[in-house]
Amino acid sequence: MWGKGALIAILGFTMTFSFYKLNLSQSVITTDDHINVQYMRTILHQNAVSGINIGIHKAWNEGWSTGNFNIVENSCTTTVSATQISADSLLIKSNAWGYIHDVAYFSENNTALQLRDSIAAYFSTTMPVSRYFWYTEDEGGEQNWNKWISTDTVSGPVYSKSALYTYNAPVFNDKVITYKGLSPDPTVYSNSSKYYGGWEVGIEIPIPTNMTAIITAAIAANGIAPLNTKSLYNKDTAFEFMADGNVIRTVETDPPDTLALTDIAPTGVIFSTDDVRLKGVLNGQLTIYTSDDIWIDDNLIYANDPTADPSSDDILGLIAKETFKVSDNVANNSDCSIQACIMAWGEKFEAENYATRPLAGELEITGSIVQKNRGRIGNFDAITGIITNGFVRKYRYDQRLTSISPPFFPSVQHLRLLSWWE
Amino acid sequence: MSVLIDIISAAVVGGMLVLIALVTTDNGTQELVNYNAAKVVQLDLEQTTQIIEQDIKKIGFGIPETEQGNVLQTVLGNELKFLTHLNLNAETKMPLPGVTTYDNIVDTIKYTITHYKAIDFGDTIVNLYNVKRSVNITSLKTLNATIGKIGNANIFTYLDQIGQTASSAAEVRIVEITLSAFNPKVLLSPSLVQNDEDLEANVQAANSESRKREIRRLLRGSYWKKNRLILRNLNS
Repeated sequence: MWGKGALIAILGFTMTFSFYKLNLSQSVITTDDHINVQYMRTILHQNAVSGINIGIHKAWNEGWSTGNFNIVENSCTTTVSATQISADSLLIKSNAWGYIHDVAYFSENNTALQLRDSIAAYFSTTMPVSRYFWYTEDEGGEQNWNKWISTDTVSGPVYSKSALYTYNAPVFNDKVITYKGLSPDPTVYSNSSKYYGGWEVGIEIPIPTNMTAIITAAIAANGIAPLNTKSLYNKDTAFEFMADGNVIRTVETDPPDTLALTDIAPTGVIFSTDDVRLKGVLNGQLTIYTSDDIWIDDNLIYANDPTADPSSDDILGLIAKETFKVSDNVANNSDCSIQACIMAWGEKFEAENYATRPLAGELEITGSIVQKNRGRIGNFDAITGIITNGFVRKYRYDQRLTSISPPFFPSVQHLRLLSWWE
Repeated sequence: MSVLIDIISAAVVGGMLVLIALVTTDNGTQELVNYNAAKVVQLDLEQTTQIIEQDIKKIGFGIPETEQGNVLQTVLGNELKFLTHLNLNAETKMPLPGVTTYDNIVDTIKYTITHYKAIDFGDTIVNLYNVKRSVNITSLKTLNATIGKIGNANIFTYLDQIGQTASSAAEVRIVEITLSAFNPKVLLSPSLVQNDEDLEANVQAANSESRKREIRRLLRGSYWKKNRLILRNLNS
């Protein structure tokens, strides 16, 4: 009797715990599968990220723009490919895949589960340098006069190949990039500068010095016309722009003549090897490049002010190989307004006689400033901080420059992320 | 007589064994349910996080830099709305049924955390929230769904480039997502929930206090997931 009872009891226990164990085992297997799948997904994602980083590095270092390569690592395969979308844009993709044995999937499909992950990123490879609101190769070292201070609210991207210096709390609304760093360090708690667009250091972007495209366009536009009559000049020339689209041109001591801007610059470009003097109201699109100096003799503004009308199509690029100067004259000594993309790739942008000229009011610039060495526009008392000579700066970024640039304006090589998709 | 004693003894011993087996099985089953419930909660939390992460990584995708100031349209702890492109081309398309064409029209994704229910334990109230996701592929499809139930209302924290709290939308470069979920054992253990009104006041108070401590202990041990995501598409 006891024997039967014990047997029944043992059988009962065995059956009960067998069912329980089966359920528990199933639960453990499901949990294990889930952990494995999550682990594999993580590995795949890491492989995809690594793949695209290698691809970006290859594009930056080797100019890689088409083709693909595979990376086999961590039981996954990653295919990285590059496609040239247009002359200055690039698509880099990274597709990672791998297989995993998932019990539930295997029981249904009789095959291993394939997992995939992919990342795509669009880049631009060049960018008109006019897109930077402020570009310098050398800010001039740490001085009192060249620090960005609390009264500075800067819109538009800023770049310096040297270090950029701030004091108190200047506001940068767009990204600030430098090669040699920011001073003080933005990560230091005591730094009160506002970098609303973010910042990046260690990026070297040389100032563009190849003006071949501009010169070629000017030569093509000039055709067989004699020098100093159309798009090519080798004498000191002054241009006074008129709001009706004409320009009063004075070549050295010759009497001035009035012409349509589109007649003397049909490709939108004028090239000179001597000084160029400018003032007036520009109606149209023009880039002037001289291998000498550019002088601003009076206000130089657009017929349709882009700060009032963002759809304005007037745009002016002024490029000097040497120095870009705001003349020390009567007209300029009671405020001066310049609306243009300014570039002095061999020297600097400055006010003539900045340390000795009289107080000149505000120098209002709407556009962008690119210069090799940072020039000065005024002088101030080191103790009181009050301006004693020259101009107070009032610079404003022309927001249109994020999407347009003056004709044939030089570009910098810059692998810049446009969009990132995961 | 001895047969009768045998039968009674067998019934008693057998009954005890069956009782032991039932109690053991019941305890085992309850633990299994608890752990399975915990696993489900963790899975839900993980899936909810994954969906949010995948969406946040798309913030500002394909938006021209001139319009990036408008990308983050709402930046609140319990609400995030942003612009992106979800069907720009074959390479970068969100797999949604019914969306088979590509366009360059800006799309939006919006997350809203709304109150779902309050569970009243007498002296402790546990609030649960819905994570609502609205994907609007302009002129093609709008998808509204609740993707999870969580235990905290403010899931988004907005940080600047160096990880400090952003003072404005323009400064945001990192979004931190924090999701929490309660241990389901709080709900599945009746002893923690019920008040025994038949007990004397001092014992009831002592029980209540110990119950409160136990609930809080379990709530402290609840599951959470926190991730920080860099918004690569903003001012790159």
